[in-house]
Amino acid sequence: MGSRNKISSSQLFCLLLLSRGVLSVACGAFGGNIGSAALSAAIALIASILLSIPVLYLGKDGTAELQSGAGRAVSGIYAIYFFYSVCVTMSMFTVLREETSGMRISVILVPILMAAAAVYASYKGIEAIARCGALILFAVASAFVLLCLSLIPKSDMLNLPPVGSYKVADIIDNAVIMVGEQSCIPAILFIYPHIKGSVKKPTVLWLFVLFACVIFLSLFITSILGDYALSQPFPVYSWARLSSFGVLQRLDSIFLAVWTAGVFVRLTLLLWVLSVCIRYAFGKKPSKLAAPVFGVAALITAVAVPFNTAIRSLVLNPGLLLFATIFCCLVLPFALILKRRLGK
Amino acid sequence: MGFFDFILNKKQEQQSVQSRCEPLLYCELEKNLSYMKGRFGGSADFTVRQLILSDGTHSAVITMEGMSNKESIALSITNPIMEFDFKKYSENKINLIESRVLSASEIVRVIDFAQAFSLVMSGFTLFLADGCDIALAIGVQGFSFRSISESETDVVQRGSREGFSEPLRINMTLVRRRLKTPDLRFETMQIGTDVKTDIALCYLDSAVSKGILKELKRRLEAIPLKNVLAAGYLVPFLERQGDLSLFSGVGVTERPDTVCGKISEGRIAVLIDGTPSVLIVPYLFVENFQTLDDYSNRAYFASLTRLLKYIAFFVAVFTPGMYVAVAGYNPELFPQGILNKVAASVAQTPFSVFTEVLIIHFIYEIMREAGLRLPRPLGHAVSIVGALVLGETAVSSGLIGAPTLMVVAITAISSYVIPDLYPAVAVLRISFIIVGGVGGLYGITLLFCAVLVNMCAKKSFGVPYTSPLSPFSFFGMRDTVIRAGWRVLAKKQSLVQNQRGSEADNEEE
Repeated sequence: MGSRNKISSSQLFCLLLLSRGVLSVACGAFGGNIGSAALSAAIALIASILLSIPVLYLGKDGTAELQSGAGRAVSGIYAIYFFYSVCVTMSMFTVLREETSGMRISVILVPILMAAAAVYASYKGIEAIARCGALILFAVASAFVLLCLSLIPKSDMLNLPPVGSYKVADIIDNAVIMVGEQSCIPAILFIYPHIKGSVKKPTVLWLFVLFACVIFLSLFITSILGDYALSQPFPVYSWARLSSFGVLQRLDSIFLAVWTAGVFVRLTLLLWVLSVCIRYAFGKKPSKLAAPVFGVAALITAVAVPFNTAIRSLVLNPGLLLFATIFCCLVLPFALILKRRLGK
Repeated sequence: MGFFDFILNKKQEQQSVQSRCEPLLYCELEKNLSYMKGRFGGSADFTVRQLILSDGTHSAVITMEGMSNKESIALSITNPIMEFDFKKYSENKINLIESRVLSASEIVRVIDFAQAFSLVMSGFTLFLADGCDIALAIGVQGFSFRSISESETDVVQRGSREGFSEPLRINMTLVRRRLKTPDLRFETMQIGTDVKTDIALCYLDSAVSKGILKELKRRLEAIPLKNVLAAGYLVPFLERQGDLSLFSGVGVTERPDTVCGKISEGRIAVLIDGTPSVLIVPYLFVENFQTLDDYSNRAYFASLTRLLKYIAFFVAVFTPGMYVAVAGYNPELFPQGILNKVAASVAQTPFSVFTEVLIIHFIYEIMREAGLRLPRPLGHAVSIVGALVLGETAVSSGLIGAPTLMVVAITAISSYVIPDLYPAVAVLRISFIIVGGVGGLYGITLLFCAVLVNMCAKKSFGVPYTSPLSPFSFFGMRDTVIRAGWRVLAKKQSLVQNQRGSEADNEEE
């Protein structure tokens, strides 16, 4: 696990954009509100840049710190965080699939297929994941362009609410969700040694492009759906259902297919990072089992989420996710910086 | 190492020791002859012609029946030797014969039995003289072989009609005739622990990556096969160990012009004695869509056909699976007119769409296999049975729906557009039908992702298999989905130069 490992800055950008972008599509799983998403995104952008500073400051030295002494315990904490992120992603996938698609497919079969594919892919190393991610990002971007083109005639500026009508609570709630979903920032710490070239530039570019896309999509969706968007658990999906292209009347299935591919890349990346954490914390042998073991555990959690409100409120909890993300983006990197200073 | 691996390795070790341990030639002719006769065990094609030279020395000419030209043996070996007056000279007989008697252009001095056996079985004639522990192998090969003809598997509209034949030397000539440069190198080796098969590595010294060449030689030398009867025997050993992929990083062609084009780009060709199939390494995914005709036609038309090939590949792999998934779980994706037809067909047939597609595909694969192996006249009969009996009757009797048959037909035709990828396409198609049937579009997406990761992880001698698509290279795109004009291609950079040549180099601790 983790062999064959060098990716370029542009591949890192694609990987981060895809891994984080797919979560924005399913923000409804947390009870997010798309109406005020544009303003929330601006706040989340600033917060995300601030959160990424310690990780970028640590850079490649962080890898050495994570593998020695107390750093191994920090790696263990990161492993728990990434396992939580895997559970969140799997659960979001299961929830969106169950609540929107309404297909006659077994509840458990698709998550099993997803977990199996992601575990297999995580064994192929970061290089393969990054290459695959770049190709899938191209497919996702093409699908979104197609959807946008097909929906432009339905867009109406009058559907956009006046800026002053947004509730501050909604804006903050959305910003909390957006920042909480930034598990890619701590992941950079573990991908860092495998990157050829600059890390800072693609990271900053990723954050700007990501939130620019979120702002554009939220405005575009609201301009089409209007107030109806506020009542939808998954407004992006509802927006995709309205699309049509020539004789093809419903393109939401295409949206679900490319979104599934994006979730697959995110899960694969997280499982790979998780196994790197285990390698740093416990050595090479346990890390080889990390992906299947945690993959199965996340699968069980995800399958239980749609049916058990207690598990759902624990896993899909924006407050808990925000706390964990801030802890992993700020507190742990600062601890590693302190460890490095004391070591010197 | 498992028990069976241990036994296998032990056996192979013994065999290779045995093959290496042929003794040196003896001074006595009788001992040499009896040893050789003993090794061949009275084989009918092993022929010995004993001669007495003018000075009374006993000698022998050894050939394998049918491998050497009898007329050449008589004119250039036995007659000159028998007519030469050896009494006038006192020097060593073998030196004398080599320098003053024989006029053949290819003479090899042989000192041991291993070399003697190898050369005799390659069509050389062996000359042994009593009192000499060196023999002469004279190149008078005269075995019959298939003449140079157009390849039936690599057909082009415009271009050379010559295809590779079976003898290695003929194939080497076909390449040399097209690349008249001293940069062109042939390196011969022998593969096989038991039966030695001659192979030749062919490359342009100025273009080849030294790392890839070194790695290729290392992998070829490590091949533990007893014998090599076809190019396909070597392919798994040229791939990375443990590489579980449906796609091959080793190309196969029967066209000398294709080989010349590839080695001009820095690739290495492996020519194998006894087969017209030549292996090319490294080989990338996009090369499966390139044919020689692309470069003979105008760029705009070549780009169109290239695009059609990519579309055909996706149609061949995904159409039946997508049809099953959409018909089973997302019928709303069908336009209304088609939806009505599919629904009517499903209502009239006893099987589900999933079962129907699976059955028809298996029947199609069986028919294809039967058509390939049968003589041509019988092949037509199979086509008639397939088209009329299975197709027409199955639909009219209501067993199979017409839309299903249509999907299978489109898929089958599309898969023949990229024949090099047929094995992968066939397996993937069945897999996508199954996941489409049980997992719908989700299943198809996830299998596609798994296959994509598998392809992205694959390297052919250190070169990413999916390049120049991912990792993306703008320059490489000039000959990928589109084919740029020759003015642009003339400046083409190679995708394989300066590669290290081994995936092992990239391994991390």
